[in-house]
Amino acid sequence: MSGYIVRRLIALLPVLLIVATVGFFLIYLTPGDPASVMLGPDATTEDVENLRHLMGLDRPLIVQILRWYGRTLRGDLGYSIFLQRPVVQAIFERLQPTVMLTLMSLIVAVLIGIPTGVVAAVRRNTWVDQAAMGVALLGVSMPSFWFGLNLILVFSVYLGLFPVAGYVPLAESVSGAFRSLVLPAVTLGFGASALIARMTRSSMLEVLGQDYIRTARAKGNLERIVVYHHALRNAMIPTLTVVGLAMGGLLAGAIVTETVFALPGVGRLVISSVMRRDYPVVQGVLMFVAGSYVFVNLLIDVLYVYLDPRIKYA
Amino acid sequence: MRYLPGRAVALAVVLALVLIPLMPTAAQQPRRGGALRIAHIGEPPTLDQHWTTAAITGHIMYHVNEGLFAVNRKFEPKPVLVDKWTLSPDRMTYTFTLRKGVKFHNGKEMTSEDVKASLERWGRIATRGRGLFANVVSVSNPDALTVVMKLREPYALLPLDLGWVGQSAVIFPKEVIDEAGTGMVKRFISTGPYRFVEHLPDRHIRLDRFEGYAARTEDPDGATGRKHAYFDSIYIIPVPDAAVRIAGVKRGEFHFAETIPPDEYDRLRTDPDLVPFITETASWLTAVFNNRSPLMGNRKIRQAFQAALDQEAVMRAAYGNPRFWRIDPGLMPKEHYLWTDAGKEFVNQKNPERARQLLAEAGYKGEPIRWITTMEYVAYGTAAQVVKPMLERAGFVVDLQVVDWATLVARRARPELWDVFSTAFSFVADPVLLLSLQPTWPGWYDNRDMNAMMTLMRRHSDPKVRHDLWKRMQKLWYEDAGTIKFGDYFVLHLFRKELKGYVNIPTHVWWNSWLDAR
Repeated sequence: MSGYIVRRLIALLPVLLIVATVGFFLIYLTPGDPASVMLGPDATTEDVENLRHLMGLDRPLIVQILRWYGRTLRGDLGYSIFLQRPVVQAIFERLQPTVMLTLMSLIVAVLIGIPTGVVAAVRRNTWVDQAAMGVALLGVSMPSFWFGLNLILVFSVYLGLFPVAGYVPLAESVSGAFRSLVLPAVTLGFGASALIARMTRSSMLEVLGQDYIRTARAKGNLERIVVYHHALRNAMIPTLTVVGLAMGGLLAGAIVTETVFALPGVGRLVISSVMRRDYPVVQGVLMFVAGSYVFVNLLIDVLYVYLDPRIKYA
Repeated sequence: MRYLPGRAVALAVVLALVLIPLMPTAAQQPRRGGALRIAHIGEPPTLDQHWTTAAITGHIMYHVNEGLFAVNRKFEPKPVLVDKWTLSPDRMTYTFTLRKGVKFHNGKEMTSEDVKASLERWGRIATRGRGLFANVVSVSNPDALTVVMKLREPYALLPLDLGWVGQSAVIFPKEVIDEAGTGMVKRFISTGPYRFVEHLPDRHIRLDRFEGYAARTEDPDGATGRKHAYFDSIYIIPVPDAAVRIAGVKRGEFHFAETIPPDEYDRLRTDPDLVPFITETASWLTAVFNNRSPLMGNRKIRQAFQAALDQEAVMRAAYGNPRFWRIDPGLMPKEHYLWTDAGKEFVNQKNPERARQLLAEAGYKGEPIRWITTMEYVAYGTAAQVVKPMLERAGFVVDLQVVDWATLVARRARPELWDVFSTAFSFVADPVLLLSLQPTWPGWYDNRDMNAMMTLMRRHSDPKVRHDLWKRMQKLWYEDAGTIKFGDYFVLHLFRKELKGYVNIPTHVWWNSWLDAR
C-alpha cells in the first residue's frame, strides 16, 4: 500500500511539469501584460515599454521559461508583481477561506446529495423520485453567480441573517467565519449535490437489485438496515469517486463564488491575477490547484480500500 | 406679578424664534468617530500614485498623500503644502515657500529636500510628470522651506499640473523615495489627513486618522482648504459585483458603493435610506482612431466615420436613462470656463450618404476596419456594437474584436494591430491635459497646426486669449475628425443617507465627511 502511495506521488511530478509548461505558454501567449495594467489607462506607449523592460518582460519567451523552471526547481514560485510578496505567501494567505469554503460546500453537497439519492432510489418511479431528480437537475443547471445573488437578496438583504459579502478570518471570530461562508457554501454545495444525488441514486438502484439484498430482506432485517447497512455502503464507491471529482469542481466553482461574495480566497486570487496578468501568481496557483486535485484523488483511491476490503493495490 | 408668567413665555417664544434657526441642528453637526466602509470595484494595481494613472489608486491615496497644490470646485489650483508662491517677471521661474510645521505620518517634518526629491521622481516616472519635466531646467532648494523650479519656456499651468488629481505630484519623504530606487515606494507615507495602515489584498485597505495632521485654515473647497478627518478609520473593500455592492449598502454593511449601473437609479431613488449620487463632472465615451494606420490615417475615412454616426442612439444604448448622458460638442465639459460648441455641425450627423461619398473620395475599397473593444466596461462594447451597423450602412467593413481590457491596452500600443479602439476619457482641468490631443498617446493624433496652438495654450494664462485659441483648436479637431467623442456621461455612486458632507469634485473627497448617528 505504501509503495503504491509513493509511486502515485512520484507520478505527480510529470503531471505538474505538463501543467506548468502548458500553463506558462497559455498565459504568456495571451495578449496583454502587467506593465500596461499597472500604469493605468492614460500611460503612453513609451512608459509601458520602459516598465516592460524593467520587469524583464521584453526578454525572449524561452529565456523567461528557463528562468522560471530554474526557480521552481529550487522551490521558489517567484514574486507577485502586484501583491509585492512571494507567490507562496500570497497563496497561503488565501488558503483559509478557500479550504473552509470547499469543506463546507462538500458537507452541504454530501448532506443534500446522498439522502436525496437514497430516497430517490428507494422510492424509484414515484413522485418522490421525480421531485428529487428534478431538484438535482435544477442544481446542475443553475449558474452559481445567479443562485448566489438570489441567496444574498433573500437571506442577507431581506432577512438580515448573513453578511452580504466579505470574510472574517477564524483568528478574529470563529462564528463570524462560519456566518460569512454559509451562503457561498450553499451556493457551491447545491450545484455539487446534484451530481452526487444522481450518482447515489443509480448505484443504489444497481445494488438494491443484487441477490445479497434479497437475502438480507429474507433474513427478516428491517428495511432501514437493508438500505443503510447493506446497500448504501456498497453503493458508496462510485459515489465517492464523484465526491472526489466534485472537489475539483468546487475549486473551479470557488472562482465564481468567491468573486460574487467578495471572499479573499484562492479563486479570487486566480481571477484577479489573470485579469491583470500577474504571471507568477497564475503559474503558482495552477501548480497548487493541479497538485491538490491529484492529491485529493489519491486520497479517494486510498479510501476505496477501507470501503471495500476486496480492493488491493499491489 | 400676574403678568410675569405671560411675559416670560412671550420672551421665551421670541428668544426661541430668534435663536433656534441660528443653532446648528444635530444633523448638520459633524460627528467625529466611526469607520467608513467603502465598497470599491476592485483592487488598485499599485498604491504608488506617481506610478499609475489608474483612477482607483487616486481615490484611495488622495486621502493619504498631498501635493504642493490641489484644485477647488472650479478646478482652479490652490496651495496645499505651499504657503506662498511667486512667478518671476520672465514667467520662467516659480518659487514656492512651503508651509512650516507640516508633519509626515512618520512624525518627521516636511522640508524642501522631500519636495525636491518627490517632484524629481514624479518628473522621471509619471506620464504627465515626464511631459512637464521636458520643460524643466532645474529644481533647487536654497533653504529648508523654499523650492525653485526653473523652466525652459513659460508654462502658465504649472500649479494646475502639480495639483491635478490623476497621477498626482504628491510629496513623499526623501528616504521613502531613496529606498524605492527605480521601483515602487514600499512605505506609503505623506502628509494627508489619513494615514495608511494596511493593505490585505482582496480584503481591504485601511486608513486611520492622522492625529498630527496640519490643516490649512481656509474653508474647504473641492480638494483644497481645511481638511478634517472625522472617521477613526476608512476601509476600502474590493467588491467586484455591482449587485453585491448595492446589497451591501442597502443592508448597511457598506456606507458607500463605487460605480453602480445607471439602470438601478429609479429603483434606488425610492429607498429612503439611500442616496443615489450622480457625479457632477462629465467623462466622455470615445472611439480613438489610429492616425498611423493606412486606413484611419486617411482624413476622409475618419470624416466618413464621423458622418455615419447617430450619437444619441449610441449613448442611449450605452447608458440608458438620459440623466446619465448628453450629446455635447465641447471637448471641455459645459461646466468648464473654456467650454465652446465650435465644430457642432460635425456632431451627430446621422448622414450615411455623406459618409458613403467621403469613403468613395478616400478610395476606400472595403478593407476591414479593425476595432478593438471590451465588454469589461460594458458601455464601451455596447457602443461599438451599436455603431457597427451604422458604419456598415455607409459602406464600411468592420472587424469588431472584443477582448479583455488588459489585451486592449497592450494591443493599442502597437499601431500595426488596430484601426479603432474603445475607451473613455475622464474629466481633465485643461485642454493641455487632454490625452486625445497628445501626439505621444496611442492614436498618435499629430497635426502641425494643432501642436502649434497647443504650445500657445501652454504659454498663455489670459482666459480670453485661451478661450479664443481653444475655440480654434476644437474646430480644427472636429474638421480633422481626430477622434470620435460619442457624448458625455455621468457615473452613479450609491451611499447611505447617514453619510454627510461627501464631495465629488475633483474626485471622491471623504475627508470632511462624517457618519450621522443612525
